[in-house]
Amino acid sequence: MDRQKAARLLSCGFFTQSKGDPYMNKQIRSGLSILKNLDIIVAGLVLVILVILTFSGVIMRYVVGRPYTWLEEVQMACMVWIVFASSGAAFLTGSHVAIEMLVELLPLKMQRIIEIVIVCVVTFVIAYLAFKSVDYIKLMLRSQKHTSMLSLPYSRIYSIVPVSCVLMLLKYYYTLYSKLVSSRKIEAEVKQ
Amino acid sequence: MSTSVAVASVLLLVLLFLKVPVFVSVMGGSITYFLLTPSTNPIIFAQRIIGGTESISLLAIPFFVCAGVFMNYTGVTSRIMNFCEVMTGRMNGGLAQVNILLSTLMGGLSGSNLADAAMQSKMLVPEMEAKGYSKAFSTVLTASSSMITPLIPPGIAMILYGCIANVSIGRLFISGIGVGAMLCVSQMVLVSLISRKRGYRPIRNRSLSFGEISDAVRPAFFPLCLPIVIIGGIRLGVFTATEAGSVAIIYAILLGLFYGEMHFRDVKKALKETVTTTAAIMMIVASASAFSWILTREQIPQHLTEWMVSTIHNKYAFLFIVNIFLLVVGMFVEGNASMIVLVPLLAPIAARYGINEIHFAMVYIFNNAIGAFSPPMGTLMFVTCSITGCKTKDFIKEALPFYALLVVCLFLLTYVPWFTTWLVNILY
Repeated sequence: MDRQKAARLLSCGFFTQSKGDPYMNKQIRSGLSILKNLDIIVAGLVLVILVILTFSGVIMRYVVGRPYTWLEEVQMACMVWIVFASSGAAFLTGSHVAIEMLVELLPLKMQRIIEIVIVCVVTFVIAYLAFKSVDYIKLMLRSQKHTSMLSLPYSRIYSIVPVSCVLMLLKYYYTLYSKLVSSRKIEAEVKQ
Repeated sequence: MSTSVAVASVLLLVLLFLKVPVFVSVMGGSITYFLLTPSTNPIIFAQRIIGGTESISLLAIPFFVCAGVFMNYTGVTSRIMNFCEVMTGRMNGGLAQVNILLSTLMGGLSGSNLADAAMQSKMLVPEMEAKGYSKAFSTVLTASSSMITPLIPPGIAMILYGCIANVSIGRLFISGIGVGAMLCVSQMVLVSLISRKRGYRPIRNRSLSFGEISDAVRPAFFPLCLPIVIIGGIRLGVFTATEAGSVAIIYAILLGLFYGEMHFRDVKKALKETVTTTAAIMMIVASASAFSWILTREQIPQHLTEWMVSTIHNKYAFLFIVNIFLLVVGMFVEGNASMIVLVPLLAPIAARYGINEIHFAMVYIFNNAIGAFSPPMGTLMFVTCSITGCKTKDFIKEALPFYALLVVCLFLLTYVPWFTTWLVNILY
């Protein structure tokens, strides 16, 4: 296999769209696409469960007259999972808002410097959250804290948070990387 | 007040203006405080962030976001637009009136002003331009009419406010109808005046027969019932405001199946849109709840209340200052983030002056809505301008009469509590 082929194979991994690549068969491709979107799939499924549980909770209480006693703690756990599972993907879809107006008024050189500062700040803040959430989970493990009705261990409910931090950083870097690539492309076209 | 809070707050603002994502800036400010204050345990930071998402009332946010997104995929929007065209056809500035009425009615289906602004910029603005309306006018009108959407229940700002200040979300919803209707009517009057001056024609000149009207009303009937189902259900105690969200989703899915316009592919897309939007809102909520823990720990709300009450003796003066302050804040800071930090500071002061909590909530939420419309950081302005290609300069010039109208509405709302409380008083 020559170098080009190898590069193409490698690039079909986590980060790039692998549509129409002859070196990938269909199963691997769909497997990769599931892996790539695993966070969104998990969040979507949890959302579906949450909606069904909440709606059936209304029926159980108002129509049947036997409300679920454990509903609230499951709802809370679902919410934590939805928010943290999809917050990485929200970087990819550009859903996380930022105030751009002021920076865009600055000269281009300053903008470049600020971009680097932003990357450092985002990395530091999310990494800090990751480490502190691990500490928090350790605390939950040590104190054996669990929910009151179903005895779900809090350490497991919160385990999504450090995972989410890693995903957020990965997807954040990926959006930066793809922005860089596209701006290089535009520069090259302008030169031509 | 210790210096570490001051440093944390300044850093938060600096990061915010440096294009750092909002939730990261707020977290950054909070982390600074924890680093500068060795007596606090930094695990509390993680606990507050996670705890910020764990609230039963806030479940309503993903629910109503989801219901709104599903509604968009069920083909409801075009039905309601037809309905609006029939209702406003004979007014001056026909399509402009459709724009306003559509925002108001869509407000009953979704709680997000940005989604509404994006949808109308794509659907209505090209049509308005083709009929001779100027691009700037169409864009400004779309942005300003989208302000009505979050005021009509369900609205995310109302859910958030109710959670933070512990005010009944059901009552806020009902109060929102009155405020939304007031804004709708006043914008319609303004548009009618501008249209007469510029010669924007009505869509048609003849009156319609009963048959034609009922043809337009029937397809839009069930979607337009949703707000009534929600408010009725909450008021009668069938479900809570949170559960109303799940009822709205089931209602939207039933409509989608009934009209046969929703496919499995759409469901997947809608779910993805819902979870990413929810994550974006809730990460801001979570980070702001860590910051507001810091403010509470430093007893800043108490100090501020003492200081306010001792310097300003009159509730009207207080409301005036709050309005000016919130208008300025709204120009620069994203609404949800500022709400979580500012409401715990301002709501207790308002209570000390004896201002009705629903009234103050609606004044706050109205200010928030104006913030989304006003430059330099108005999100509605960005969304509409980026889709229609209108220049910010033209936007601001054309928006001046609308700003004037909004400020007049704001002060009417502030000093005549009747506007916010009459519907609540009737229904409760």
